[in-house]
Amino acid sequence: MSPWHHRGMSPWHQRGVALVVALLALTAGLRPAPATALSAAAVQIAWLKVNAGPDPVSPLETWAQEMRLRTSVAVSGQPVALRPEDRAILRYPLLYMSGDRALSPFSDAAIAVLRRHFSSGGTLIVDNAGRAEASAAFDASFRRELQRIIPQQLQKIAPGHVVFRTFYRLDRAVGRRADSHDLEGLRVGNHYAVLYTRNDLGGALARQSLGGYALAVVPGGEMQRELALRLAVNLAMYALCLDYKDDQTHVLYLLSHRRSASPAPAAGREE
Amino acid sequence: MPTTGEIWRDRLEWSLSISNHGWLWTVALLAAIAVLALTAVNARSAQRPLHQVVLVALRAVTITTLLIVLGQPTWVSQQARQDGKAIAVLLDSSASMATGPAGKTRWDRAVAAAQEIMARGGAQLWAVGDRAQASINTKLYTPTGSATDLLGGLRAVRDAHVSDALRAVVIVSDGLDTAELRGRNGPDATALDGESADIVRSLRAPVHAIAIDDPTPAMDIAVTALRLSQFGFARTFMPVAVDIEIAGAADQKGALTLQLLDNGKPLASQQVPIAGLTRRTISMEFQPLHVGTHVIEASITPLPGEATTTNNRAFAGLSVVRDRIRILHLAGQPSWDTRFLRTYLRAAANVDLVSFYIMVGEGAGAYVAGEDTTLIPFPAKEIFEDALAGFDVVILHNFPYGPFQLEQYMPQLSQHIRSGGGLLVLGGPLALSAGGYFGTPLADLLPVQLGPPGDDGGWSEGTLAPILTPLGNHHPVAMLGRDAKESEAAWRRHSIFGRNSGMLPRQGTAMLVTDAKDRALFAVGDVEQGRSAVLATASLWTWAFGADTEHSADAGATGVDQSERDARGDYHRLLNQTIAWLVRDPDYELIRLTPPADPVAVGEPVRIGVALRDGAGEPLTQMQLQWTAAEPATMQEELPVTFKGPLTDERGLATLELHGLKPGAWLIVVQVEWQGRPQRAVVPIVIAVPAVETAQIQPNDRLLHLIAKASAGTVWQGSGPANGIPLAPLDNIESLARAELVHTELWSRPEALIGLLVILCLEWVLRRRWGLA
Repeated sequence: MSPWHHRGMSPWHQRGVALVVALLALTAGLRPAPATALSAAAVQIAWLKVNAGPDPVSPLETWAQEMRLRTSVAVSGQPVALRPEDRAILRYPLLYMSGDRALSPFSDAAIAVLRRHFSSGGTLIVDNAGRAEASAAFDASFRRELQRIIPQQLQKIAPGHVVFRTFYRLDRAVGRRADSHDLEGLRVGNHYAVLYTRNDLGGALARQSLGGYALAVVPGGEMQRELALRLAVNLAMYALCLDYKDDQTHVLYLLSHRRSASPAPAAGREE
Repeated sequence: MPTTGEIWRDRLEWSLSISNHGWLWTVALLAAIAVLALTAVNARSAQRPLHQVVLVALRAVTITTLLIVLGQPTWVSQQARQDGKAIAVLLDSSASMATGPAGKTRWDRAVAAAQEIMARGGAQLWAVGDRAQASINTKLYTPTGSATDLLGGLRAVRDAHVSDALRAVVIVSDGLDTAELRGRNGPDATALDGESADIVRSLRAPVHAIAIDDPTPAMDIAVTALRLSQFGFARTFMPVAVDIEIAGAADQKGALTLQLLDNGKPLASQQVPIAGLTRRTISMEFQPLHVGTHVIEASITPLPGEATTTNNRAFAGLSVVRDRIRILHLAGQPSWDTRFLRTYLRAAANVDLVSFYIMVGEGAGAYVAGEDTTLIPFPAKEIFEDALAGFDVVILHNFPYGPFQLEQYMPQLSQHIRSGGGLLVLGGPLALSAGGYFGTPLADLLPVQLGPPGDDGGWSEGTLAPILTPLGNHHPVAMLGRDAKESEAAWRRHSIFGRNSGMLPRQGTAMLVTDAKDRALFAVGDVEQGRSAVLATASLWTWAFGADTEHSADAGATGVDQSERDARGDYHRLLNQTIAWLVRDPDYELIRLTPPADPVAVGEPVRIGVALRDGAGEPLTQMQLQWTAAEPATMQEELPVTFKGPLTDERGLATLELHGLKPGAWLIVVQVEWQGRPQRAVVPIVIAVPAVETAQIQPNDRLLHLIAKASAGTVWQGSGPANGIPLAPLDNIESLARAELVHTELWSRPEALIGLLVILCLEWVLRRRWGLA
């Protein structure tokens, strides 16, 4: 059963959704894009396919659609699916991985590719898609594998961090669930290379074949879904802009202080 | 014997000295008397009295001669040379003496006073300005000295009269010493300082002065000092203090216009009320925009009837360095290209970055309404009106022309770039022809010609290989290796994903990279004083992320391979070089000029070092230099280059030597032909004007009185006394002359011996003839 299965959905409907998703997957061709197909001017969110949960085709499409709708970013609507050891990952700075069960250990090649992805400036958004609550198995296995890539612990991202206001002002991180209001992250250099949400963000974005949202959002309903959508926008914008909003908040100050001989004061950072 | 020449009239005095040995003389005199007595007794035996007298006389002559020889008589010649021009007239020939109406300048009146003294004879005329010069012809002389060094003039006169005496020294001057004397004797001095007084007294003659005043007080406004640091940072405001003095303008009304200029271009101006103004310091500030040598000028608009306008301007040299490169990054949308460029620029220690991205698209509507977002309006006015001048480089990154008021602010942006700013246009579906640049003033700033968007809308997807042009292969911007071969290889390992179309080469710019069909990908060019570059793709980020390399998808699983490292290095290098070239970093210039460190004095040659190196740092040898000079205020983009300079040597070096430049600031344009294209560099120089000499123009006889007081001299106003200049007593002359004695020993002369022998022989012969023993 899909993790973003609507609790009130009948078995027929479930089968229908599964069929549509399967057809979409086949017709849309969820395959690693060939190098010649790289559209460098557009942003593509690549799905890191780890076989720890359902294929997030619908959430990624919704995500791209909402980015195009709400922001100026040119986002490609066709998600790309890539295996962790696939070096084509290195053409996609923004990766999305979700799971509701334990991850299989990554191969050494996958570890190397992901390590390089992070060190090159890439970002991985990890979504714990546990059904009723965050999957402990996925959580533990993900942390284990992450340790293999970057031997550091995830840390809680402060509510004032730029990721919470890089586009929308948010005071918490929610998804289909709202178990934890926190985001966790792993810093590489000056940016969070890994952002981890435990609230099934993809579940809030998943749509039915006919357009409606596939899963109920609890406990906040549609308002919470909107917050989840906004979080998705912010996460992608953070990957694209990093701490731009820290500077941009002070842009008028910076402009008015062009006269200063010394470098402009460092913009405030919340973390 | 002393000699006489055309200059000297020698006076000879003779004196006879005899060695004084008391006992010897007593014995000699007694012996002489005894001999003479014996001779007289002996002569009595002569037959005639005449014979007796003759014999005694001859013996007396002999004895006298012997006594003279015994006394060793010596002629002493005292050479008391008396100078026929024993009065030295020092005529002030500094520029301040030119003050006054034609025919009645201070110089004219000083010359008349000097000629009165000269007419009495015995005087030598000196000109004293920044240096002293003897025996001048006043008809051929003009007062242009850049300083007044009275003490130096007195020293020169003294040194010229070491071995003879002066009877008097007369200074004819307005008293405006600008050198050592004034420095040693401040406004409160009541007597000359010790060293100056020693110099005056060493002349051993009274030093008089004729103070040349103005018949009516001269009206004059002077910039007496322009004070600022010798070093500054580009685009950082610098304080400047301008000292102004005004005289003879008590009845004037209105205000003066004080203007500050940078290489002849106005920076700032200020109105200074004249009423009640005698001396004032005006504080101003300005922002040097460009790295290099600047000539800062403070200038006051002359008033009608000013005594001189040469002191209405003051110059100061300023060396401007760059602390940080200030970049304004405007992006039409967030993208991976903006993301990695931002990462690079934020990490660069020498970059001060201000970014503004267009974050929301058309139609977002309610999704971005209210206070739920952190969006702020695009601060077009603040950026383009208020802050633009503070940036070295403006990056338009996939930025569309229409939606964000670019058109409204194009005059400011265009002016900024044309006056020395850098513009980097990075491509994408919202930029160049696709972004509506065609036919706009922005297109005129680009190093490519834009066509209207074609069927592809000005943007085409697809992968293509960038190809370095022959020019790009040697250009400091596009070189990605130590030599052309390495650079070509570096470009070959990269791909371009998507490109802006509809671009053609523009005359006079440099096409560095094209695709296989010679379509422009990367071009750079000058825009008057500024520069611009276009990179017609949004995929440069793939270099930084290592996404475009051929091997990145196939390399082993061990992580970063060499090609990925190279790719990232190429990204950094290309951006670094492009930005450095845009801001005219001297290390990335083909022509590097080294101007004189200090202002060059009028009449001195200006030597400018020239070094030519290509993008790989290889010297360009046997290159023909051409040059011209332009006044900064009239500097045009296409200044004709008219003079041939030397060829560069085997090290790519040459020295330009320029003569005959008038005082003031100049821009020297140096040009060479390289790769069939003219390359030029401009450097400002300043030819020093005698600003210090004419900074204070009102006559002041204070120092003349101090000099006269130190040597018992007199100060007269306007002309000397009717009865002539008082002279020093002759005692001084004799005391100087005593050292020059010439001794001539008369006793040891052969004539004396021969005379003695002749007398003795004559006496002997007479004695024999007259029958005496």
